[in-house]
Amino acid sequence: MKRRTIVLGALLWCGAAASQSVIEWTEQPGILGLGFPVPEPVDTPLPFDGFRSYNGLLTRHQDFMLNHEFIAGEVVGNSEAGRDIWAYRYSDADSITVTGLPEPAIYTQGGIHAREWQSPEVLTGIMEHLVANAGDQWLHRYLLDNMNMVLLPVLNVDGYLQTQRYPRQVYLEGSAPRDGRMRRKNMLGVDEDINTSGDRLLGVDLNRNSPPFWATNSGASSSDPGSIVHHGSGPHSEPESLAMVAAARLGPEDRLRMYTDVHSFSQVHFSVNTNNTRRNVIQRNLLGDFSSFHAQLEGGKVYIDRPSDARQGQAIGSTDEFFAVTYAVPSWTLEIEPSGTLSPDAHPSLPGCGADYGGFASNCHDGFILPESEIRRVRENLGQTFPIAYYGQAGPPSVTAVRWIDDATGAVVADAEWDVQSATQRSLFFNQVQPLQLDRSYTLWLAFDKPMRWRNDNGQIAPLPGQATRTTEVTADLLLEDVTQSPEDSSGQWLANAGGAPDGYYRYRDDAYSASFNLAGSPLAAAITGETQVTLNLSAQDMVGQLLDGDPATPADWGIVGNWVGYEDTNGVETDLGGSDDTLTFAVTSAALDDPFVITPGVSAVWFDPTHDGEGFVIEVLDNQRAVVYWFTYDKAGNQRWMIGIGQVRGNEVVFPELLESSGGIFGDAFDPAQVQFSNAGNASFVWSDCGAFRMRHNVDVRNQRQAALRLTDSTGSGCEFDTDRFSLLPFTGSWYDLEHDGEGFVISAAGPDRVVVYWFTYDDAGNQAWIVGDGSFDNGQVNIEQAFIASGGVFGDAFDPDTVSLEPWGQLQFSLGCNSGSVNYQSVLPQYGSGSQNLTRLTNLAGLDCTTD
Amino acid sequence: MNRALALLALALYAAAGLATDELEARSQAQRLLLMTSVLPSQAVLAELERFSDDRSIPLETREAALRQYVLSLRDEPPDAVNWQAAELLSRYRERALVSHSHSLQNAVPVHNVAAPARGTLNVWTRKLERSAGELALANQDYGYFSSLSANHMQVVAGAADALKHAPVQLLEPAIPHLIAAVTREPALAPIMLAAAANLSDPDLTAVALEFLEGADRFRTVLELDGIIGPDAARAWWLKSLDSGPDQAAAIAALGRMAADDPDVSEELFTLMGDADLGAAAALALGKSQAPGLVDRAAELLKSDQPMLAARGRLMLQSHGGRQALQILERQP
Repeated sequence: MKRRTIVLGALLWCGAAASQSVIEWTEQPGILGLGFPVPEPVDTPLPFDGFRSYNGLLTRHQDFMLNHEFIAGEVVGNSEAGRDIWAYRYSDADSITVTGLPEPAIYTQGGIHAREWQSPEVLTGIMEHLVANAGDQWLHRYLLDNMNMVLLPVLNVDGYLQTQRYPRQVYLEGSAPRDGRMRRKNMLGVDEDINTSGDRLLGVDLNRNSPPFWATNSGASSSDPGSIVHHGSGPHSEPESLAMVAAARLGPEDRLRMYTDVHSFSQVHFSVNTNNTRRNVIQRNLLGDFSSFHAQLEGGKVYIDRPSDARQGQAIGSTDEFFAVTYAVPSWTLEIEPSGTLSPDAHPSLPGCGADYGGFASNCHDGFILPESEIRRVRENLGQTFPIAYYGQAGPPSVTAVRWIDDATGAVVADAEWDVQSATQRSLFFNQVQPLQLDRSYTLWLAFDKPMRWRNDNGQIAPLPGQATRTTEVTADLLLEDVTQSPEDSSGQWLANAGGAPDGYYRYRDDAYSASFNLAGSPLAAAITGETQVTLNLSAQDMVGQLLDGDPATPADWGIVGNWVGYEDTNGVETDLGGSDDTLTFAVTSAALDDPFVITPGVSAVWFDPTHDGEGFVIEVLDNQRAVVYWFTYDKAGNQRWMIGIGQVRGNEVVFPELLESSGGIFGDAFDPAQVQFSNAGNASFVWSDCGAFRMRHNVDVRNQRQAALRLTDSTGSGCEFDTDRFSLLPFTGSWYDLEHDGEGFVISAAGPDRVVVYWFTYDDAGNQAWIVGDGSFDNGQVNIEQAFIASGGVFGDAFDPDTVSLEPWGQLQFSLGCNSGSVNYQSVLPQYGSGSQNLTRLTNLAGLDCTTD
Repeated sequence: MNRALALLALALYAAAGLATDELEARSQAQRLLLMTSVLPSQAVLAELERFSDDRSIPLETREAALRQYVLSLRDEPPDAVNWQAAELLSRYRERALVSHSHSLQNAVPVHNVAAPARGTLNVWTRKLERSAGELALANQDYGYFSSLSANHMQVVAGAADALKHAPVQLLEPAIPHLIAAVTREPALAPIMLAAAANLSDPDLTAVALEFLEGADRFRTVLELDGIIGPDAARAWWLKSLDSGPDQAAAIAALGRMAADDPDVSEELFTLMGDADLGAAAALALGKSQAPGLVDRAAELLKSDQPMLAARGRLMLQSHGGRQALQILERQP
């Protein structure tokens, strides 16, 4: 039974190919029939449903670099043909985290194999995702602030350009398409004309050019210059390989925590295992997080981890082996989709190669040619996913701050924070203003060193896509022997709004958590008589399920041997698993104490830390729960420096979200308000324990520093209120300035019943900040400062030494003040300041004072 | 690496060492093809199963034969026998394996069979759909288009093939039905585009563009001058600069005209300060080598607006000419 005549000529399929050396990929069926339009690069930097030309991608990268302060680009080497190879650092300008630790780094590389166009697009997709989300004050801002992300989008620039020069044409070597669109290697010994014979197969496979396993496996790399896996003349013999090493140094290399070489195709992670089991487990978990998240995205694409061993006989001289062995970091080759034809099958439900998308899979090399219709999804999905892996390797989570806030007064009754002292050490700042009382209710506020939670489209807390529900659980219990006191039911919440304790996050959205405790009638209350130390037991996981660092005193870091160090479990034992944190204890009392101190107007005064004699703070409490601070201090070089903050009064605390410092002013008649610029130098918070003392934290030099201050001036009577009967000058105190000198001004504070202290926050004749201080008499609105001083020699921050401060006579000032206006005359003994006068207008009215005698 | 994996790797090396007997493979493929043309489907499938396990022929040669067979099969008509044969082989699990060149502990087939078999089914899907489309046009059975599914790439592509090559007199009466079909299912827009290309009909292209998305839309807009003519395309592109999904394609397309069209060049210059589009305009202008460009870019470098200065730099980088590079070298 003959059904039809068959065309046996079809069997010449392979033979026909051999007779044509340069042929084309086509959409229609054929030797290189794709089944979808043949992608061609377009000269645009904008992401679209297709592939950008090298110029388009480069323009995109450079535009980002030139327009965003958190991106720095660098030419890390030159290609065989002398073209620039660019790497980009996505990070803030410093190399330290917001808490003061050395920043970790990751390195992600693309475009090592020229024909794998998916790869540079994905690298660019990562950049685009980071740029688009840089302002989220959450995950991406956290990464930019706390990590150095080194991204190299196109390593094999020459080869990439060759593939784009011939987007359809290939040289067919047997049945294997080579050169043109299918070039994999660099262009060593190759001209750019596909039609010239003799050089089409040449070049070095840059992924076989790395030590320590260079040329150790003749099955996977070759000394034959025509081989697709030619390993070159020596380890890192190629300029592109040297550029890769230079890019790693941007980390810098000793801060690296992850390496990915982005390739296509097979839809797998070819990860590298070393003889360090701990590193291997961390790597496996990291890739699990990567894949779990990615599988939940639009395409539902699953990436399978297929590890191999970095050891003689199995290793091939690839870059992932180089990073795994040399830097002992999680290191893998990401093979972008489509799926391949691995055995055992990584994707049994997918046919593999171009057939994954309905293509013809005539030659499985079509897997290197992703349809244009797919690249946007691929680029965006992986652009979203890589930051999740970066987040994991940014480090395990750690508790950074704990506060107990008295609900009735809003006062901070206990304040604990881990302050970074060095790369390996944190110290605990602990300030319990009064013991927790059993008959009061409190809000516990916890802050962590990274954003801890994902929110779904409705803004509700949910597991990171792909993670288990348990990753959202939090334990925050008070423990006393076998008694456990948990927060009020359903009171726990992650904090999505700015503002700090008790209702806002610390630095990033969802890096803080609050819960309510009412100790009255609790099992804990029954167990306590007198004052007892109670342990706070904290347990939580970050978004990728990493448990807390059990001992924040030793910051978790990536160790040189390739695992976490300083990452302790519940028992304080260093592991890679973490645990719960029970390092903090708080005093609880059965006694009924007075309410904690809350800020009153009488807090307005001059304050100083006795160990910092020579600098200090002028605090002004204003109406509507606002306060102003003037900090007169020094810079690192011993020059004068001053900062201003406007803050919010909360119970016994004032929070200054910004400390502003000025520049551009010139002393005297040359002063031009238009030239004065204010910039944010940091932030600070002040917590009063009583009317006469506060502890302040500032974050001006990146890491937290603190001072414990006492009063320098006091005009209070009972209850920390102003004693206006004894201090009749009080209504004239406050801040004053000349409308034509906006950017400098005077602060007048009561130093005694008829004495004032005056600070003039101004500039020298060279435009540097200056502050002048003097005390003098007050009589019916007339202030006479017979001897003002100017200070120098102090050093900002913890290095401050009172003995290095010196005071130099500055001159005299005379004020004539009404309630709202006045004037000042000055005569300096220093020639650069000279003499002059200003007309004054009141800038601030202190709360609790009323001036009626103008 | 555990011992089992090591042994597997060794086995793979051994498999890789077996050379394919190309002549034998071709001969077997030819035999299978002949057999497929004459035997009923059950017998064909049985023979394919038997051949797959025929240990008298080396495994690697067998799988080479199956691969050649399934590739050759795609030139045959997609009748039931052929279809079942290809479908059977699309589920085939290759056993002649070689270590993956990057990950030696993973293997890949020496000769892929399943993926090209699936590809053969896809080739036929396209052919069948083209035939169905041609038949529908010939019979004026326009319901075919409204029942078309957009779920398979080759279904849409096959229908588009039919429309792209249809005689004009058959195509024109189908147009309202195509519009109705695409209105119902916008993912079918490529079929309308194919019809518009066949008819060289700018209006129909415009209608198609209302529905087209993604890669098809980008390519269409980019190459609009070849479809609706340079003047109409120019107007379309300029209009598209303001907003919408075609900005990137329009800028890239206008860049090709910028050297000879001062108005276009000027339009692109106005985008230079646009946070999203400015870089695209800078690249388009730079590559256009438009007259006076280098001087204007140099002026931008002096701008007190950092973004404009950056775009000036990008324009000079894209230009790449001697003067442009000299200016860049003088920059700090």
